[in-house]
Amino acid sequence: MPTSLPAKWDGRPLGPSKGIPRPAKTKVVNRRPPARRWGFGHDLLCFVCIALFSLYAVAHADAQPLVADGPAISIIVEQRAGSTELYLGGNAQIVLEHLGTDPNLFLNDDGYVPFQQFQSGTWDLGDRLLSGVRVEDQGQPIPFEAMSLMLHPEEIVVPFQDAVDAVMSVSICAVLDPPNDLQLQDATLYAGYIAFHDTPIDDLIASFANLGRSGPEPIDVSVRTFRDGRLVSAFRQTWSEGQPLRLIDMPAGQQAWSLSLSAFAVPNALMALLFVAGLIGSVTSMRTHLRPR
Amino acid sequence: MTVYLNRRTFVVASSALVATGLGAVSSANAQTTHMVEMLNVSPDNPRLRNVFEPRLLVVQPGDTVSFVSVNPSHNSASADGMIPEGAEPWASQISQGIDVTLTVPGFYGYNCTPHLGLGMVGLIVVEGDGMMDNLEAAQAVRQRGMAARVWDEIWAEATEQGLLG
Repeated sequence: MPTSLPAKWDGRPLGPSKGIPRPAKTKVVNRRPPARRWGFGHDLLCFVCIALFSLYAVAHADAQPLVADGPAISIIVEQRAGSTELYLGGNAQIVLEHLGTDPNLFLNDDGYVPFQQFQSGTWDLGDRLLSGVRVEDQGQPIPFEAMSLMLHPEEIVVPFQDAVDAVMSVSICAVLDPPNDLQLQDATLYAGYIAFHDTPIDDLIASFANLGRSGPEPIDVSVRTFRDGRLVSAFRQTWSEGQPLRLIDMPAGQQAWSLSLSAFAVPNALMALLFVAGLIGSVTSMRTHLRPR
Repeated sequence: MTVYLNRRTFVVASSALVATGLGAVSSANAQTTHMVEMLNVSPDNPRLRNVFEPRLLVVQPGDTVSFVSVNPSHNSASADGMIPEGAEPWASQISQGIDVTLTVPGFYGYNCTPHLGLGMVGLIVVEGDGMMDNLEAAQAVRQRGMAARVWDEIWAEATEQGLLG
């Protein structure tokens, strides 16, 4: 078998099928693997950066829970000695529909949100919104009283992370440029309530009057509970109209879901997998290149 | 020892005495203007929202309190049942300040109209005879929402300052 190229090669592939002799294999010596453009330190740095970024993203995702894939209604409970504050936020139409409140209370004659009327206080509207709701602690009614209520155009993101944010979200001073043509389906409603009590509240369950009509679809409700400004629990539950709604403890039988934990853990677990996979790939590649043929 | 006064010395000395006396009288009747800011966030505690700063003020009869609209959407309005008998109630437009001159001694409660339920309230104490006359009535007014808690704090501050007798 010839060991060199034919004297006249027509450019066709060399191989036995063509009947053309192929050159003998030559032993490769001192073959170096292709240099890696990025090193281990770079990979590690990327991983740390992504982990930090996801932490940052989680912090801000919590500050803006009323997003498209977020809960339909977000509730913040702030417990202090002698009082409990309750804040809720969600699409105005959904909130009014689920609480059985007449939407016309929140509209002027033209069918728009009357911001001008809100300047004289909105606690009456807040009381009307909660009028069909009974909130109780171990069977004892807890009389919540409205502090304020406000509607915002849904395209404006209003921080709603804790009670401090919530106080502003229910204030008219947070609506810097109230539109004249805001409709309920395009508005986010925020309402704040407070109840004073002598003894600490252990549990808080809201029950709703039977509205006597076919209720809307069940919705996701998130509840974040604070004690003196410190977050003590966060969970989601599916809530159907007419069903009781737990406001402090996670409802039994429903799967706990921690926004913060899962939002942090899932992307970081994926990144860790990718990182390990990348390491294995790098090592394999290096070994392949180092192996003599 | 004998002191001799010439005419010039006498005139200068007399003028000085008169001027000093007039100054004393005018300072006793001076009308001071106090400023109260209407704010979204307390400068002392960022966790406190919608506040009057200061929320407790002690003034003399005839003093003027100037409410300054620092942040929009606030106003100042005297609280129903929380001003002395014979005193003039007041209310500013939203996002506008107002100057209020207080002549009747007593306790003046006031609030921001849209933020009353969120506890944006304040107290002015005008010292003088009869200042305690409306204290009981002012304290008995039922407060809305968060204002109940803030009023408890304000009355406690007033007690600490010895304003409630």
